[in-house]
Amino acid sequence: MSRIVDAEARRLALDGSRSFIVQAPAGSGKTELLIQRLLVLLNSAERPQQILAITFTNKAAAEMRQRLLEALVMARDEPKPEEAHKAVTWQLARAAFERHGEALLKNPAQLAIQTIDSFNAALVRKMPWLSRFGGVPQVREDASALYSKAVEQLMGQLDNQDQTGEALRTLLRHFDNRLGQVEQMLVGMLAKRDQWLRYLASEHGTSHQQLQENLEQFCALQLEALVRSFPPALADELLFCASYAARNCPDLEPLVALCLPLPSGYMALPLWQALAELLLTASGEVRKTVNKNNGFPAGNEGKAAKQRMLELLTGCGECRDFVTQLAAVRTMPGHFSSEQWQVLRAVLDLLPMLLVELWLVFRQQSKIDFSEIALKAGQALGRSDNPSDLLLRIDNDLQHILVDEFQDTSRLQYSLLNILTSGWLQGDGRTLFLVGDPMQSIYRFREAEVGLFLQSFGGDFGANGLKLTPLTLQCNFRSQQGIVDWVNRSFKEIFPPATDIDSGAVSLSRAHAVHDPLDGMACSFYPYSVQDDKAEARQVVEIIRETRIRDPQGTIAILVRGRTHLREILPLLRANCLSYQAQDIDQLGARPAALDLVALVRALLHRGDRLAWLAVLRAPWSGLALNDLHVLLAGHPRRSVPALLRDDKLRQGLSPAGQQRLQAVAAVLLNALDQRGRFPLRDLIERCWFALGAASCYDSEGLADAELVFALIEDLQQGGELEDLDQLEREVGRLFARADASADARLQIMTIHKSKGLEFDTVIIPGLGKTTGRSESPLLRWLEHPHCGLLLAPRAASGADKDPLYQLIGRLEQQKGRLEDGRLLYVATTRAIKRLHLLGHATANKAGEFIPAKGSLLEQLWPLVNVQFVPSEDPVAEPLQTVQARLKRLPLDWHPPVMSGVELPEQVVNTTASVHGDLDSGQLFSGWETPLYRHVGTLVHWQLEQLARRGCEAWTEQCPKLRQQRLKKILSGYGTPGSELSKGVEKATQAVERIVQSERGRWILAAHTDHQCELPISGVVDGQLVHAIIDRTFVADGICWIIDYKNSTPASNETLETFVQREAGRYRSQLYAYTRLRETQLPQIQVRAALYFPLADAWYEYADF
Amino acid sequence: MTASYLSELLPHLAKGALVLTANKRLFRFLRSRFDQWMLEQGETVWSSPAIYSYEGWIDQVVTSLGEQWRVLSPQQAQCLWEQLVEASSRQLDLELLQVSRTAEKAAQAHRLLNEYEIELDEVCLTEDQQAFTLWRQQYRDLCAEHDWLDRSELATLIREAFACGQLDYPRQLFLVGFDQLSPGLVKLCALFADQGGACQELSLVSERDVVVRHYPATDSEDEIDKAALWTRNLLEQGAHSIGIVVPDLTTSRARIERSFLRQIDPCAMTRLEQDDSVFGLSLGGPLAEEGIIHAALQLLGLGRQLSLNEVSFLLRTPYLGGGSREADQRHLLDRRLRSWRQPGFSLTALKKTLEKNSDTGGIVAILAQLESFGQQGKQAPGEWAACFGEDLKALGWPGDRVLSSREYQALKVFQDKVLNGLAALDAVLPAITRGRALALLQQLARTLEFQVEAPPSPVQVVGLLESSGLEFEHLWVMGMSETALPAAPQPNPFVPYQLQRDHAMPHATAERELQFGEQVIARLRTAAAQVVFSYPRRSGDSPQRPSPLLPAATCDTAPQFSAPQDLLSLSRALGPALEILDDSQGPVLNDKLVEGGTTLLKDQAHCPFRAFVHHRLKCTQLDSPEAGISAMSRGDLVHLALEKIWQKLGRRTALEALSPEPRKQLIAQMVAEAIAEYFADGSLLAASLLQIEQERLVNLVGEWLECEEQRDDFVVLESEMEHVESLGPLKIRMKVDRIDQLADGQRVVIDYKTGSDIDARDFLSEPLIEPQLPIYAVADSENPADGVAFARVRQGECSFVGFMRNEAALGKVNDYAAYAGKHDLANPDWDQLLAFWKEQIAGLAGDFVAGRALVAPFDPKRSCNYCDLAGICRIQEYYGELEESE
Ligand code: SF4
Repeated sequence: MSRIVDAEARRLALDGSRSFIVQAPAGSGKTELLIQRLLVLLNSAERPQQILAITFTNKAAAEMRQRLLEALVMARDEPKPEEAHKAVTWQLARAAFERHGEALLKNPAQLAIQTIDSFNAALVRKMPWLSRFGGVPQVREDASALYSKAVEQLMGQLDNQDQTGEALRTLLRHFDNRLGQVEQMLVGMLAKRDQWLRYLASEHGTSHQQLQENLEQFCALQLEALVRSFPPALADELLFCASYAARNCPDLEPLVALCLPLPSGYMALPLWQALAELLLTASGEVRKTVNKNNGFPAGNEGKAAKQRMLELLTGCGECRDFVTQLAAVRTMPGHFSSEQWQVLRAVLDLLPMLLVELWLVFRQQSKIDFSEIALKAGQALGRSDNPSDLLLRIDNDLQHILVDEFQDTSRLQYSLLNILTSGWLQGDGRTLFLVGDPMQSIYRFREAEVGLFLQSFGGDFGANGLKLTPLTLQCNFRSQQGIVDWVNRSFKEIFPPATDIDSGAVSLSRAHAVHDPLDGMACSFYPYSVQDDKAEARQVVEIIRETRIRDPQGTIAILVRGRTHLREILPLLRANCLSYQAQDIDQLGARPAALDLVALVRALLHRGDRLAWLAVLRAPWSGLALNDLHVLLAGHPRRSVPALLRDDKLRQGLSPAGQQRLQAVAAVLLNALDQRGRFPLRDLIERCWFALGAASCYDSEGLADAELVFALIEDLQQGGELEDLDQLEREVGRLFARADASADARLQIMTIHKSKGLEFDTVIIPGLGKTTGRSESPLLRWLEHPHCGLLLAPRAASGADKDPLYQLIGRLEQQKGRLEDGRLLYVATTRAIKRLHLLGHATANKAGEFIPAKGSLLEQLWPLVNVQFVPSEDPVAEPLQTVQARLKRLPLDWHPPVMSGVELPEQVVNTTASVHGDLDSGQLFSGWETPLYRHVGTLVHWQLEQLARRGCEAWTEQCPKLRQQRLKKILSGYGTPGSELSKGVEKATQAVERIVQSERGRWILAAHTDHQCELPISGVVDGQLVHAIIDRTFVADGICWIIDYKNSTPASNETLETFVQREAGRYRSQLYAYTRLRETQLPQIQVRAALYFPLADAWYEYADF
Repeated sequence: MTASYLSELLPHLAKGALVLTANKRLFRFLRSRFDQWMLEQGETVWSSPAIYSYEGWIDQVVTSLGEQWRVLSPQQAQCLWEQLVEASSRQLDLELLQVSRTAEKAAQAHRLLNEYEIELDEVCLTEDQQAFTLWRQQYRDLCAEHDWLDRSELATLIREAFACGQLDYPRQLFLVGFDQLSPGLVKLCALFADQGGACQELSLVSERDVVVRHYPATDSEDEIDKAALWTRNLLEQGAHSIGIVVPDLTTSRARIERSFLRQIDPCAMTRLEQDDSVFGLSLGGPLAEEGIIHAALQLLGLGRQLSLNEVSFLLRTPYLGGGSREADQRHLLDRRLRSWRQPGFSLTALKKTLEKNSDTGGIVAILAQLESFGQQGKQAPGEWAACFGEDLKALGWPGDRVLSSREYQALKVFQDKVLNGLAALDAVLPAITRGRALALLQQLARTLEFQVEAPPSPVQVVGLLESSGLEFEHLWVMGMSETALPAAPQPNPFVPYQLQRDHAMPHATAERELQFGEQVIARLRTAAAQVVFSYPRRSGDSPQRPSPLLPAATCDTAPQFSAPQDLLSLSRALGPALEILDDSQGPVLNDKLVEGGTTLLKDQAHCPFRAFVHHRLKCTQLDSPEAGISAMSRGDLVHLALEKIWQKLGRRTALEALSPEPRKQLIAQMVAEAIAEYFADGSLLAASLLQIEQERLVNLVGEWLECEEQRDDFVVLESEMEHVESLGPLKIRMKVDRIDQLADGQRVVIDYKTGSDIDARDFLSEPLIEPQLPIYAVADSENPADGVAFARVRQGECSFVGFMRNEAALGKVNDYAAYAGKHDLANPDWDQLLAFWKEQIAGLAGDFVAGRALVAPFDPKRSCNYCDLAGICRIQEYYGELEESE
């Protein structure tokens, strides 16, 4: 084991009083360092909440928290370990533990270790008003549906005679009236709005002048670089040849003005373009020769000049860099064409409108995307004069911020960090600690901007220049020396020689292996001289087999750039019984169980979806043969399939076996169809699916797939329906089958992006020769340049010439992409602990030279492996095979497994003596009637209780006007519509008046012996437990009366007599129970029960209890 | 099992002590324990004990004080807050995203401040808190003006009533199950105590022996499943009181209900009748999620412009008048409407279209009703409630299917609580628009918990707060992970944080949460004789740790589980039970004629299975709408315009003779006619789209005519001519775009193409995947055509692509013989190509007639990419199998 060469940097990084930026290459033990630093800070912090650690993913946050807590527990419970680096951690943890004690371990929620997204959410939660969210809304990972909706709403203004309408029409005109494409472009703009928003917000950020200036500045930068790349020794020669040629060729006129030093700056563009004309052929190569067209006429007097020119050309030819840059400058646009500007203007005019629509959509759905949270958190903080004051007020006095994976920070996140640290002063005890590895920056598609790391590594952070001490870790604790050496050697070639912030070029930072080399080849490359995925797949299997022999317990990973690169490999692994776990590899939408289930959903939701019904009838649970399907479907294109299934005559035409199959299946399907809406959609489908026997149709992977689809249905359903029939299919298409947890974890398959942060004994990377997808030509290309601001260019109208600015941006994107490809390869190869296997193909061109595909990872690796490619014999093309379609289905004699239920214990049944409405009458909905009478009844009921308690005088003595007002308010409080209040009060007053004046009424309310209102009483009646509340009871003339008030009134066509009889019957059992209870309670006294209808002033006495 | 605090409490209850509980569930629990105790003592009647939930007691006391009408219901209060927030939000540069959430938080802050009797002074408030202070002032002004009371003021009101003798002091008061006593309650107790009453808060923690177990589950799914199997095991042993405590019950409710049902009544998972489960947890859910209510809300929300999804909903919902009776017809109608690929319809246009349909009379009537919905004007919420009721009735909601008992209950609740609830807002709201009323209605239905009536269950699933005071024989506490307990603090953003800390308000600080967590764990730990605490070890892809508060296990053995009895587990254990057979042959087509367009043979060439499904079984997918003018329509428009133009011109010379101006005019006029004709049925497309399409087409057609002008002289023989070709029992009906006769008399068959995938080699492939022009070319064997060509009508790419018998007969179109020679093809000249075509066409037709239905795509990339059958033919799976059998 070699020594720790970077011990000093590691020691320094634990200085809790200073800010650092640390480059921590693969395998350098970054997490341990972060934990140690956290412990150091914990030791000094007053409260744990003052430290914020930001991770890239939730998973990383959970892991870091776990490791930190484990360290603390270890320091509490265990003695100091022997090993040096563990001892350091132990000691730091011990100190932190002593500082905060059990309280920290008991309440780990105090540790703010989280992703930037959840930190933003916490900020926003504390600023519901300032952030304009009013609480944290639901955040959609994939918010494209929201964007589409906003764009759709904007498109609704297409016919408007205003700027918006005009702008929309301009776009449609330019883009061939392809509404769908224009919509897509705008959706794309919304998805990336964090990048252009601040330009739009600033006053001139998107004016013609500003954009023109951006462009000019960009030209100037390119020219500067071009001038730098020109070999100075040739300057005089260039001057000579150029002016010579200019004199002889009118096209090269501008060159007359050429002088030394070579000019840069925007104004020099025509000059350099003329130079390019002079030096380069149409295809961008250095001219081999020149003639009079280029300003070098034949003849003797020109001979010397021509000779000098040829030498100059040779000289230039040796300087590749200069030539490429010159070629790029040749087509560089100096300004926007008027048509281009018109389209741009339209886009820029639409953006603010689009934002308005987006906010409306967010409001309508109470859903947002992650960008919105980040934007609003930043805005809310930024609105305050002094953000750290604000932070204090929202209860967050941050002292230390640690950021992991800083190389993948976006500009938006950077600006947030900038705000958070804006009040910080050098040496005030607050620190920033940024960790990352620019060599592993691979999240450009998520707006990661590696330049931010590079820039910060210069030592300054943010607007007020917080000082950072840059540190670089060099030790690699992961890989054996052989791998480390290979990586050092290879990436010296692959990575650009110098770091460049603008283009995001990162050069190699060499690693020192801590582990000794292993015997044998650390890295093997397998070249294929023609694309042969099957052969590669066979090789992969071969490698796994060999590795398993050598290192049976070792972990193996197959890493690919794109999932599709596994197409040939997975089936072969399965065929060879190699069990594996695949993370996010198998698309759910292509798996049989998921497909069948989607068809089932569609069929049950739509009787007219003939294809879905066909799929359901053909699926394994049914498995109707083509002949039977033909009988059923062929002659009836215009009838729904469920109708056909119900058609007995038709069904008799099927084969006997077919009839038998259909019988079972049709019964279940038709039944499920009838139950639509009664279950949540998931339950309906799931039950139907089980009833069909689907659970016996798939292996455990298939069943797991189905479970995912069920979960998705549950997620999407609304009131037993899907809002959009195609939604499920779309979403299923986006999901991946879950890794089979029961499979062998020693063999893992994943994309390189997923593998970040992981390590494996053996790493196999197949398909290096492949590219991903096609290059797109979006309607609008744009770029946020660190120095020049926004550059935008719309695609040229179809049929017109390509737009140079558009192409230029495309090239820049491509360049950045290529740089990132190199880093991707770095990430992939540095996952290996012991061995690395690389496989890739290149094809030979007509001249027999092998050339890797453009944009493939092999292209990156090419200088290192090209010698290994030798022509092989043409492989025999395998003919496309046609195989019989095979139908898989449950056999006819299949029976479902037997399930057994549980006997449930008898329960004591409580009843409350109340009466249900006519539950079973099944009457239909008859609109909504105002509950006026019910409320009046409640009011009267309450008033009676009051009077019974206080005596009737309470009513008569009250001032009628006051009483009226009071009753009105009470009635309104019950929920009586305002328009009916007066009527209600009148009714109630009438009723009470009548009672107070009637003899019976006064008798009921009088203060008899033992009189009570609302008497609560419980007991057992006929074996049933009853809880009763008796409205009114008293003893008068030796009889105990039980009186229940009822608020009903006769129906319009009903006599009082029949009404009372009807009601009496309805409440019979209730009053019966009351009577029995009271009788038991008062065994000496006769008990009688009656109903009293105050609104109708009616009375019914039960004589027969 | 009378244990712990109950043995102390029950005798007091019998003596008339007042007991206030933290929630309703605990009230029911205590009452039933009391009943049981009475029964055990042989009583048959007794005074109901004075147990109340604290909230319920407050209501009762306020009612008896005659002040109930002053109290704002939670909905009314929420409504008021919303109005206040909304009003100030409207003055912002950007309106608040979630008004009602803000209002909730503000109301909560108001409650807190009232309960703690705190006044905010203006200093040191954040902007959020300043905004809140303003709303609070307005809210209080409103309350004062109308004599309203906020619920949070009732504690004080009651206390004063006691103090001034309006109410009688209880002799003895017990408080049960409060995880935290609100300040109001504390003060009330102090008052009682002052008056010599006995006030006591009962401790729920007892000293009894409890067996505590831990169960670390793999993830939360495993946790729920295991809890269900544990429950099943206990039920099998006759247990009758099992409690399950779930901290995040609202999110996991459905999963828990399903998992328990699966294990305890496994047969229910295959039953489709709604009302006959023997076991249910009836955990409830939002009323708005009930199908019947969802439909009502959807229907009320329909406007004059309907999106395709809305139309489709209308046609497919069973909860509309005739929704069952006309179901088949309506669904088929929806299919037809979808084939127009329009993203939406106007109500009027839709009605007009459907009126022509005879078998869906019901839906037309319903559309007419929808048209008459009162859209305009403002009314009081109560009037809207009546109006919504009328509208629903007019639409025939809830449909013509017999209601299930669950549906009936939901409908009743909708009437009683939702429509009435809307009316109850009259007191606090002015007249509002229909949209606002509907939004309120939806909100009411969404927030209302609907619980279907169910027989009592031996298993109770409760949330963490609700579990307070309950006791069971067996208890399982789920979700005890580090992040759940102690929870992260959630202070109210509208109350200054320092204040919240100083008063130790609920959820204010980490310390407060810790204290709460410890208290909860302490009571749960002794709430049953046997307790299991479980937690998931993973959540998503992140590791999870157990809560640091978990009490130590007293027993190492794992909880006892039953073997799973659900269909899924049983089937999984048995493995798939499938038979595999070849089935790629359908019946022969004999007597009946099948008619089809040229796509029939094209499909047959691409993949026989596809042809069988599309053209024999007549199954295709539902169409999806396209934004703007669909690609198909654009193609059709080009055809139509060119047809019109060549009908006028007839020959190249006529074109040439036209000077630029008249030519332009002709083009513009023909294009305009084409568009008018094509969209005659009235489309929803924006006028600008059509206008721009007109401009675009004029340019395109102009460019195309220039391309035609370059050709040698020709005469257009036929244009858009129908042609029927009989191939055995097969009739192929097709339309030939154009037939030109060249100067030398040669005839070329031409097809306009506007797409990008044009490849002349498709005329030569085997099977022949471009059979349309060849069919026509060889139709007349006496007089076959002399060339076939696609006319590529695309901006900047206008040209002819195809093959000719002779050289240079049609622009740059290949001379076939030369081409064949260069590429070394099997059919060296035109005549042989014609023969090849004949044979191919006959072969394809023959295969189709024979019912051959092999899954054999011509080229998986091209054939399968846009095929709608990939789910049925299982092409992916089948390539996978190919590998395996190697
Ligand atoms: S997806 Fe391919 S194989 Fe399947 S039916 Fe369509 S064309 Fe044939």
